[in-house]
Amino acid sequence: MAAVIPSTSVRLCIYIWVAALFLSVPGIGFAQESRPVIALLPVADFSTGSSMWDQELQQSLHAALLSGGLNLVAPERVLEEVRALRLRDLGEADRFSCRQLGIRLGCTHLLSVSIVESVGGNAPSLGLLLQLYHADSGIPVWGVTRTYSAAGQIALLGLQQDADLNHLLRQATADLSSSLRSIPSNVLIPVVTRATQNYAVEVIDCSSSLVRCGGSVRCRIKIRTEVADISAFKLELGGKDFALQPSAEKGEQRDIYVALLEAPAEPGVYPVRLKHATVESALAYTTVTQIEAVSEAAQLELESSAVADAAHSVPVFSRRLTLRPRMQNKRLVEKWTFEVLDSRKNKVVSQQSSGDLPAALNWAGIDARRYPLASGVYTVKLHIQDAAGFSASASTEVYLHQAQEELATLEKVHKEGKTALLLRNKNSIAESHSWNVYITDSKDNELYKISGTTMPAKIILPESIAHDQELFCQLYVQDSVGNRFWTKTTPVGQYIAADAIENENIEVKKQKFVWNSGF
Amino acid sequence: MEQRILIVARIVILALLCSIVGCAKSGEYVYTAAPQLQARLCRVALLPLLNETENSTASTLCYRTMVTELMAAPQIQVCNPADMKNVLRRRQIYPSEIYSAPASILEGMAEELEVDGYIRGKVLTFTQEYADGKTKVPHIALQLELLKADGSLISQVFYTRGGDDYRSLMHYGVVYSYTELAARMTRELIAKWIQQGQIGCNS
Repeated sequence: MAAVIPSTSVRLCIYIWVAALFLSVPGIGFAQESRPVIALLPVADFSTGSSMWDQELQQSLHAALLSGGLNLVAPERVLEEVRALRLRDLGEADRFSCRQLGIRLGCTHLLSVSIVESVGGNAPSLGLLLQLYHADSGIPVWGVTRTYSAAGQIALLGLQQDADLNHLLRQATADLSSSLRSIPSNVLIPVVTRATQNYAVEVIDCSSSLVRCGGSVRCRIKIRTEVADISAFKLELGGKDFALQPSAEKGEQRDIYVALLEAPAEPGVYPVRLKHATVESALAYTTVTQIEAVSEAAQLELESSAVADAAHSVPVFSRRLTLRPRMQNKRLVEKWTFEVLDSRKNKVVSQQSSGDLPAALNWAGIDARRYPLASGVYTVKLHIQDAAGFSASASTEVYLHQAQEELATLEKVHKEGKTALLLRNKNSIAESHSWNVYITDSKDNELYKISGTTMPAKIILPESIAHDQELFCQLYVQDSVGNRFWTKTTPVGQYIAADAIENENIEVKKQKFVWNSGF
Repeated sequence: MEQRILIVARIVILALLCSIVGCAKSGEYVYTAAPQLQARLCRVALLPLLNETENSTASTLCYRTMVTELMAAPQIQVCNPADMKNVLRRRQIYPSEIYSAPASILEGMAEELEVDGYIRGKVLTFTQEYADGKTKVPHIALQLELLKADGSLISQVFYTRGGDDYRSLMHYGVVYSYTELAARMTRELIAKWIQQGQIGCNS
């Protein structure tokens, strides 16, 4: 009987053989002619919770993957190459980085593991993401989300929930190794892509995106490439090729190159493309940025808020003038100057600024010392210089009407026991746009309001207004150029009482005041 | 023996409770704009999600989870998210400008990334709310758009879910993790888009 039962070592060998056989069955394990080699990238922790899990998870996952029979690259080598490539984001590798890692590590796939959620406390939870990339093309081929929360492990029939954070991590490790075993075998077949790009490019800066036709632009770009000879790369603008030189600036990082480009002779918007001659003598292009070539200054116009008035040959404004610059084919402005000249061409306001034009410029009719200027004709002028060095100007004349004088008067008349208000328009600049007469009591409560657009010469007060106390009236006028004016408050009731004392007798004063209507 | 009887009794009580309480909450959470003429997208790029919540990690968690779920879906191909970010960086398009990017830019990006269209979206809500007065569960609201390569809209969806929506029996099935909720929402959306013929690589 003892001879039938194999020894422990023999049993172990049988188990290993059975496991290997199981893994080689197509559709279950990674049964391929050439088995995939996976590089497990360093675990990236994007969560705001506790850290230090990444390294522990990394080690546990590595061990779990190895025990699952996968071909893995040594973690030290992965870390070394990741550092050498200076991956910007550990959780995400672009296609160039994927390809580089694939070549350097001799792997077919890259496995990225990231922690996106880790909450401690009474209800810990863990959120993990696994992403598998094809190394040669950088194409993502598989992914899985795994979450673990203590609250989700509810007590059932006497089983207690485990709220220990480390328990979740252990559970995650065990579960993830089985998740990785479930990767469909078809995703591990090399992916056929249109073209494999063996470089990555990004713009550091260009001296300008707007340039004169035939002018020059200096561009700095960063190229990460596995191609040793940088002369295989050119920048192309308007059908011409320009050579790239390593940047000679002090303290500049490696992989940064400079090219001096010449803008095309014809105006237009042109793409700047990185041109790369591949080994197969094919040409690959990557658009890097765009440049606009211009041959003349921009058409500049000024739109003002001043309004036309019959009394003046130029538009009129008061208090505030708003100017809106309009540019045909808007372009990048480098600096601009705003000036106001008086009728004798003296500069009363001058403002300079760099950068783009504001949407609107405002002038309040004051000089540089913020003193109000006298009414009169002024010339407002805007001068710009665009990024290509072209200058353009626009100007317009306006009449400044300083509205310190009375625009209207209000007078009460009392004749033959009847009362009316006389209104007089004293605005010589603009027509009345709207007017209101307010009748109030001594506590400023509005009792009556009469409104209109064109100001009448006389208002007959309605009979319906009756009040025991003193009454007051006030006129508000707004003209067509935006001036607003309030007359002083006129004590109408008191005035009538005085009239009554003078013209009639004292009893009238004590009577209930009644507005009369009609003359 | 008594313990076995107790366990059987508990099972019977649970089954009764199940029949009384009912199962998952029902309700319409998806509001979809009428889709335009069918344009099935096979290979897509998920553009960075705008974060309109007060939680600074909302967009990162949702974005990464959504990308992973798109990778997991066998019917869809998704472009490498790092490549997409490189292209955005090179073309100087900031995440806040994604909604105002002109058609020509989107077309150029699609050509470079070799994608048929984009998924663009915002995270509108990312909060925890009490499910039963004691336990907090996550709530996420997303607004997502399916765009053709030229930026024209294929369909738009406002999608909101809470962890409590997945309750199956008593407190079972409730989702307590933001990651799990975001993943489930993405899986549901992908299934919906595939069902409507808006996305998918199989002809």
